[in-house]
Amino acid sequence: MTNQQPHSLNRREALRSAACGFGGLALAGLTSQASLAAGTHFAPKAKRVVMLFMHGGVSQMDSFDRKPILNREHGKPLPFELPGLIRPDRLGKVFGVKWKWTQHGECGQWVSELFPHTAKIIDKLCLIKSLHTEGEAHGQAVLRLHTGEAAFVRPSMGAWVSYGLGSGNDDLPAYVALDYPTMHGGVRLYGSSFLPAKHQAMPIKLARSANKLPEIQNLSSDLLSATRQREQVEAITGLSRLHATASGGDAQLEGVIESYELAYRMQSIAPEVLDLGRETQETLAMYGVDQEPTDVFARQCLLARRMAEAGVRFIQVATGYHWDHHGNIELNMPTSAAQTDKPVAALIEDLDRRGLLDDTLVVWAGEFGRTPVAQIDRGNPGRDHNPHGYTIWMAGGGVKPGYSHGATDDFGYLAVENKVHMHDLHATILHLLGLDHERLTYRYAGRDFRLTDVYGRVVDEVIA
Amino acid sequence: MLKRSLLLSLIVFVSSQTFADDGAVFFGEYIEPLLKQHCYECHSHEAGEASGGLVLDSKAGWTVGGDSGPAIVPREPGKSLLWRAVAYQNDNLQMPPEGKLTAGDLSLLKKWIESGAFDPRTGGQAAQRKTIDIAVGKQWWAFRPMAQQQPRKSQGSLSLLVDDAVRSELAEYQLTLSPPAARNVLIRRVTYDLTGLPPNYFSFGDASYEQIVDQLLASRHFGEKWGRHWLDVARYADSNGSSFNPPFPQAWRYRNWLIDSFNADLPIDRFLQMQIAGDLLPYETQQQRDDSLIATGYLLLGSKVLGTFDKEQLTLDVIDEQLDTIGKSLLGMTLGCARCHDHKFDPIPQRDYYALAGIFSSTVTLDDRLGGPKEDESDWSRRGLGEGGDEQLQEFLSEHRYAWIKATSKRFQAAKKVDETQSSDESEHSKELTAAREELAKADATLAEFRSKLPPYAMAVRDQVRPGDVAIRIRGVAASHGDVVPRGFLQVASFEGQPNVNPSASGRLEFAQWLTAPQNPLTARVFVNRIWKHLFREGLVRSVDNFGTTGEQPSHPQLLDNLATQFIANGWKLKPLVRELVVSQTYRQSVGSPPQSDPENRLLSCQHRRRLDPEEIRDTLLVLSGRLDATSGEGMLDSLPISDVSNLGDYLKIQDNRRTIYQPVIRTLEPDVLQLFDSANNAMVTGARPKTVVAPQALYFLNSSFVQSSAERIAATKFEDTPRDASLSNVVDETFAWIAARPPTDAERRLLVDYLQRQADGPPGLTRHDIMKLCQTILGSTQFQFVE
Repeated sequence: MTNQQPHSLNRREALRSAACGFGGLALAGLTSQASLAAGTHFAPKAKRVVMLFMHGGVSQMDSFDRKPILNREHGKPLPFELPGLIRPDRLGKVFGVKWKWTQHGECGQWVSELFPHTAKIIDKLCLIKSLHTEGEAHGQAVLRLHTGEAAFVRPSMGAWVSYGLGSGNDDLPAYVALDYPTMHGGVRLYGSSFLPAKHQAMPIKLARSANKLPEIQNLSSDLLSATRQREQVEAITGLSRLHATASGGDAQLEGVIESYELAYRMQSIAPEVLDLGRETQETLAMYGVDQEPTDVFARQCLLARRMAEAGVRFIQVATGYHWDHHGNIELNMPTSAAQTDKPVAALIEDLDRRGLLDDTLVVWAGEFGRTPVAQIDRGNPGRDHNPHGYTIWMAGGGVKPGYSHGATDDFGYLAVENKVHMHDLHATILHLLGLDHERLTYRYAGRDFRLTDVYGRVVDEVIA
Repeated sequence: MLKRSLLLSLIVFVSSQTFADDGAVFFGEYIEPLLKQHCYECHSHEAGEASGGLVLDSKAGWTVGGDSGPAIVPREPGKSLLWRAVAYQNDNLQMPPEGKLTAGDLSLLKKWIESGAFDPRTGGQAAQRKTIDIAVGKQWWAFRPMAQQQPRKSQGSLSLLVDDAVRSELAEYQLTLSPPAARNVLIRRVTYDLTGLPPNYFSFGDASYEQIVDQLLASRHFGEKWGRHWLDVARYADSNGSSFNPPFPQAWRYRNWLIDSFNADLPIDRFLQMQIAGDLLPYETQQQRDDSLIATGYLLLGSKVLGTFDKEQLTLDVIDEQLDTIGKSLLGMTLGCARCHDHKFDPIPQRDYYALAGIFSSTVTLDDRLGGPKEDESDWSRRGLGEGGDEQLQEFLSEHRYAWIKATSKRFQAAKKVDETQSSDESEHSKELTAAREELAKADATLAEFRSKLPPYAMAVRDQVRPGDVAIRIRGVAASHGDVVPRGFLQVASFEGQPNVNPSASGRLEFAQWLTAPQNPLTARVFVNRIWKHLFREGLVRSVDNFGTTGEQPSHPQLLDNLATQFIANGWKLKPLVRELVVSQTYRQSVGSPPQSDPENRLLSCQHRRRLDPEEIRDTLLVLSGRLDATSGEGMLDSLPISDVSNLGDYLKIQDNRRTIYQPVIRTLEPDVLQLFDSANNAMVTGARPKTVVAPQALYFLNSSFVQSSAERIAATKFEDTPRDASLSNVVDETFAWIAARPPTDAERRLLVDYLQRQADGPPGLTRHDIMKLCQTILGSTQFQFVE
């Protein structure tokens, strides 16, 4: 019934055999249920996830969900009531779309002119045009996207995946969060909540670090040379080992000793993974590194690929909070798209040419979509929040390429056909990783918890 | 495929024939297969599932219906829940969940209901309601009255009682207590346990252990350590967190009040009553009144989804958070499980949840909304302090609330502007800087004007003007009202002569009395068990926040009951209880490896080793490096705007050299040391902190500027006079004792001397840098990080 397990008789051996990974140690008798027994519930299609979080909420009708009626009805009232609405007081008339649309690829998907690079890889993407969620405000919707829940503190999706699958490598964290916001949930967006701490993401800072170089906190010493630090690590572990030996073996003490060894390995390996200078000029250019306006997101996407390559299980990348186009969508949406379109497309291409796309699931998603009507309290109109129907896409990792699932109504407001709830998206992502969302549970405070609470349905239709 | 062809044939059939006169045929041909195919998986006895309490495998199933009542009203599809669900007319209830039925199926169902819903099935029954039998529930150990049994030998002394109880259990397994720990080990243990600070090895003197314990209990650091334990279960923080994250600039008053309460040894029954109903308690002095108001901050500190547009939902979520906290922290019950249905494991019917919910819906937690552009954000309740303070505050708020709150933002922005201009500008006297400073002066003046009218105030509750009962929410859905339940308490923990809710008030006062009545089977047990846990590392009931049937049973039930009844008999005093526990032989044992017959050491044949808490790590480094500011923190968030602060970056890193308990906890941005090591989850009741070992903790000891600067400061201040030709083993002895509060063993000394020799860079002889590295090495070791 509880999480405690008996002390292991041979702790040293237990430690060695446990799926350790960088993030932490599965310690018998110390942290229990540290990780599921190795192995998935069924054969996985994806081994890792890269989640590209479009913070603020991308307008579906200006990106991938073409609704010609909006232009025809521009300036007229919506012909139906807006159910469950946000701020009815600030919603105006139907608001037309400014962009040209063309069909792309063999699948013939419509893509707005704001995403020319994504348009070129459209045959690799699986669009879901009927996602819906709860939460009219950013914070709630962002928390639901990342943790499935807004009102209560719950583990993030990446933490569940780390808990379910363990780390995919020995020297790096299982789960990283790149440039994650401090707002709209902050650490909860990549936290482990009641799951053991080893499942929380290692935050990496890039956008706001010196020279846009990736940074992991406390990764290197300002005071000691590598040799001197090696000596110090040996002294610390040596000293601690005397303690552990004198105490006849104690899993906690052994765990700390092991953590220094892991930390030291990480110190040696991580700088290599973080070093974008190891990429060819061609690759850098393909992502848009050192070009404006793509530089920052290009670096983030490139780093995500390097992490995926190095075996990191779950990589979360945030664009920065710039998709919230309440006003002046005409000017702001092209800017947001231009910052991200090329790097995103490059990431897909790059993963593909390296043979990584097959088992890497890429998820491109905002926390919600936007309204078909204009928001009137701004001089230059934009669109307000809309959790009732919007578009996200996935690629690689076992989803159908060149495919589109579900639809919103004629105006792009409500998901109406083959609706996919946020919980269903989570269930599907876990499924692709070989995890049954109903069986991936953790007992806390007397109850079994899951990412999808009591909801969720795997969307079989999008699975290849 | 089968599904499709079947449907196809049905549709063809329907369109080519009129409906059969014989309802039984129609039901058998069309409706039953449809129900079987689409509904039975979750709504039939055969599948063993009755979601929402509904089965559809018999007529009784739908006529009686599920949690929401009858599923079908014959001839009235519009009034039939089943129809509304399958037609997807209700946002909260759409069946089947995986997708709407086809138009053909829907029209069949509709016609069937319209034509009277003839159902020829006989026999069968509605889903068996699992009803909770309170009398049976009371048999669970935690709900039984506490059994007081006078122990044979140990009259009078609680510590003997403890030792007796532990020894006699051990004896049954042919085990004994371990020998007592060495004096310096024991002093370090008890000093950390009672104050969270390190002892000074060089001033141990020859006071007896009991004298040392008494000194520690009298130290004001006792309240700081034990206050932190309570903050863990009170899910304390200085900001709301969640989606909209305003600071709680006055939360410190609650924190400091409880530190003072522990130091003054305020009886715990009173301590708990104040937190639940302080505003309703009688008082003699204004100080008592203020303290009682401040204490109710406990009810307000939860993390709320303030941006929720549906205010009824928000209100119910806030109440749920309060009940969840009260349940786990005071009663050891997971009350939240009874929000949507009867508790699945514990004898807590949904009625009881809403009986309690009525008490808190009759309490003002969230205040009126603010005016202005952020009108959708709710606000927490405030009470003024001091003579006439509350009236003054309410008057102030009704007049100036919005302008004042805006002024806090303006002042913050102006100060930020000055910072930015200063850092971007070379010349001290640029026009821009002058302008920014003028703006700041103006903003300061405006804010000062408001603050001059603002009495000191606290986060504190009051009763609603119109208290009342609330309706059960079917399946927890805010809009689905069931029966209204009278306010009350948990039936399973009820006792004779318990107080009844006064209908003209919220009922918190009576709830507080009920909680702390000597007959309440849960409160004292839960509290005493927490104290035990902090001193023996595991509770007698290890699931300290869960005394329900999914929790663990006590390892020493009679001891727990004796401790609880003695605790009550001694006036709910904490310090005497702690004293008795730490002078017991059981506490004084050395750490060791538990025997194979008791691998988890539940019988306590040795003490458990424990790691330092993150607060202890930080505070110790401050003490050892001579930097600790021993004053207490107040109002450290006054510079922040009362608005979402999540995005204020470095402005939130408000830290000084006071003890960690005084450092503000911004829910979206915890200080590093708390994030990396095992701190309490600041949004949930955390009676037992997690125990984790992760590599970032090692990186923190190796590379963080705080550990490095602490090591440097220790070397620079404590060992500044060390001559370059000092004996290495003397230096090792001194630094080791300074940091780990004991001399090193021979092997430890040899290893560190060897390290010092090997790592020397420059000319022979000790440098300050060498000592720094030595200090850092000892700080990184398990010898420092663990309490033996």
